[in-house]
Amino acid sequence: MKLILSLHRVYGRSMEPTLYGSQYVVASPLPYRVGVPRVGDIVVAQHPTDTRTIIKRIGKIKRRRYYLVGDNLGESTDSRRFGSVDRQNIIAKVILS
Amino acid sequence: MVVMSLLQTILSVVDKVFPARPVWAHCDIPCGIYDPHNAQMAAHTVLRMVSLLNEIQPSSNEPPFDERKKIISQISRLTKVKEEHAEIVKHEIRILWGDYFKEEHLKEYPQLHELMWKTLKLASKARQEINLETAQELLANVQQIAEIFYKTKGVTPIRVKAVYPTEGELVFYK
Repeated sequence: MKLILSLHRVYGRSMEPTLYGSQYVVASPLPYRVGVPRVGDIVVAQHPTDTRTIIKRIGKIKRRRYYLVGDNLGESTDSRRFGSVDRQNIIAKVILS
Repeated sequence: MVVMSLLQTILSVVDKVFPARPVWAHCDIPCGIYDPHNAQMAAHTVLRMVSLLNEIQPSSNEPPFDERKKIISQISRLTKVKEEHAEIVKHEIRILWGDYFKEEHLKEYPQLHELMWKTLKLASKARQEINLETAQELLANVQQIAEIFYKTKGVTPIRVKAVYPTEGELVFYK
């Protein structure tokens, strides 16, 4: 059963200054059941090439592909490196931080 | 000091009951600082260790126990360093391959994948054997990678004589 809400803890600096390392966030898949991911959303997503779950912001959406970037561009490994991701990689929207 | 917000305090309590899952705001630190020099130094070290291993000669077919001890100790030390430095070559090459080189470099240097792959294999072979030819080939491959690396940086690679006992070359740039 997929949880309506999930609690996460941020590791790393790629979302600074919006989110800092060790900060807690609450995410939910529900907004994307009733709506669609939008540019600017902070999302919890499955990394496309490894097992990690990542937290990034949707920077662009093109042809149903999502370009994820960190807010801290100087210290972020994101779609600039691994390319845009599929909708199915996006797990949940961050709704509280 | 970061003052935790009330929400963060509440969530930290929730964390104790329902542990938070990690999410990676990760960075492989794309700092742009890459250098083939470490790989070259390590490849030279492998070559040097193989030469030193080959230089070990017993005084007779049945050397005294003390001499055997010395030889075994020396072989162990040289082999350890050879192993470590072949692994450093692999580590450094993997970083260049996985993190630095990009598709546009491959278009310009289509041999890159095979060169990287063969270099990793050679480094493994250099660990397994005491083989001067393999060590020399490993160094030659690392030098080729260094040359390609510097070209992709827009500088002209040059070969200079290393000040190492291997008397081989190092690739730098103008």
